[in-house]
Amino acid sequence: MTLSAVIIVLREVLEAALLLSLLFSTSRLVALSCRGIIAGLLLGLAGAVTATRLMDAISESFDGVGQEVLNVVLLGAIVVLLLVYAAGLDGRRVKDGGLVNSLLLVASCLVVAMALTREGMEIIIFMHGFSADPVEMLPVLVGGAIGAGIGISLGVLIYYTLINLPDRLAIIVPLLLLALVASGMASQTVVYLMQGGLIESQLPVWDTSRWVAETSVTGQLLYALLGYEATPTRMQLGIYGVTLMVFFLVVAAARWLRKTPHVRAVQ
Amino acid sequence: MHRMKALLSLAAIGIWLAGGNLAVYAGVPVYEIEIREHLFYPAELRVPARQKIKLQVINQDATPEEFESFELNREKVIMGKRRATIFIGPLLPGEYPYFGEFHPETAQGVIIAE
Repeated sequence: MTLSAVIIVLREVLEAALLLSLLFSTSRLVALSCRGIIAGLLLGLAGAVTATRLMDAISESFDGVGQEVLNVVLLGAIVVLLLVYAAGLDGRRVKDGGLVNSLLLVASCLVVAMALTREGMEIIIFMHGFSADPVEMLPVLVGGAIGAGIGISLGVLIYYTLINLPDRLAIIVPLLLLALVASGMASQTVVYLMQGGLIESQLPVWDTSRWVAETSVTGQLLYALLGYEATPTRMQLGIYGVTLMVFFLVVAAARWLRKTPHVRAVQ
Repeated sequence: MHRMKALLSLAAIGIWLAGGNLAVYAGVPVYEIEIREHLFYPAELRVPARQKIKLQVINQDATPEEFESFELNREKVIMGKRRATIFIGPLLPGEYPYFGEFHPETAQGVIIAE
């Protein structure tokens, strides 16, 4: 029991820890307050507890595919907010302060809150299932603590790697990672839509499970980072590509705006 | 003009990727899987290949379970004493293992598409 608890908690914590390390490191890079992220952590905990309490009702809603709808909404919103955050990061360096600042704080807060709700929900439901049996509960708690410990350590490691990057890579690398994480999440929404029968399913385009199995440690890391899946469908690949493209276009546009502030002011 | 062409090609790619995405429920075969004492019944389920399938997973246990399959790209929590709907496929012929993530030692099954 201990081992499966380690795996379940680690999988969820790893995704959240990666996202948090990216947000913390980029915030630090542009001297943005961490209050947004901290508030997001608290909101996310409350969100996870609330969603767990409502899980029966959520599951029954939308003809039994409420869970899928909830995941699509949360993931979709996170992707959009990450886009706003990434675009704002560059704007922030102009020191035009106020609006961009608040936008970044709100975006980081909501991203963390929604990501934590998603990941936390599953951990709580899993743990709660054993609460009636104290004999089983202890190994589950120990396993969960180990899993969380590994996940958080990895997050801390990524954070320190990112904030110690040389100057010319300092903003590009985290932005690229944010874009990859967001694209992975966008492609995940397609899976939930297919799982709920809300869009037509498709045969997978390829199968790379012989090279990197999703069950392997590499597979899990790649999943958290790139949204790796051994058998993606055409739609997933398409949404992945489109999100990546939009990300780069938006960041490039933000960069361009930053360079021509007077032109806009005169017009 | 070039921009127009670029937009049109993008739209064409989009339509190809979406590939006729209106969900059609009629005629989707339904299969049931039950969870009892952290075991799946039937542990081996045969379904037609190259076709969308509607799975009804019924959890008879009081504790929650998560239906999970890497091969099927599916993951869904089923609360105690509840049922869940999961659409899978179309599948290429082959074996697709699944398991209960909350009790993986016992809750194991396989879907065989043929």
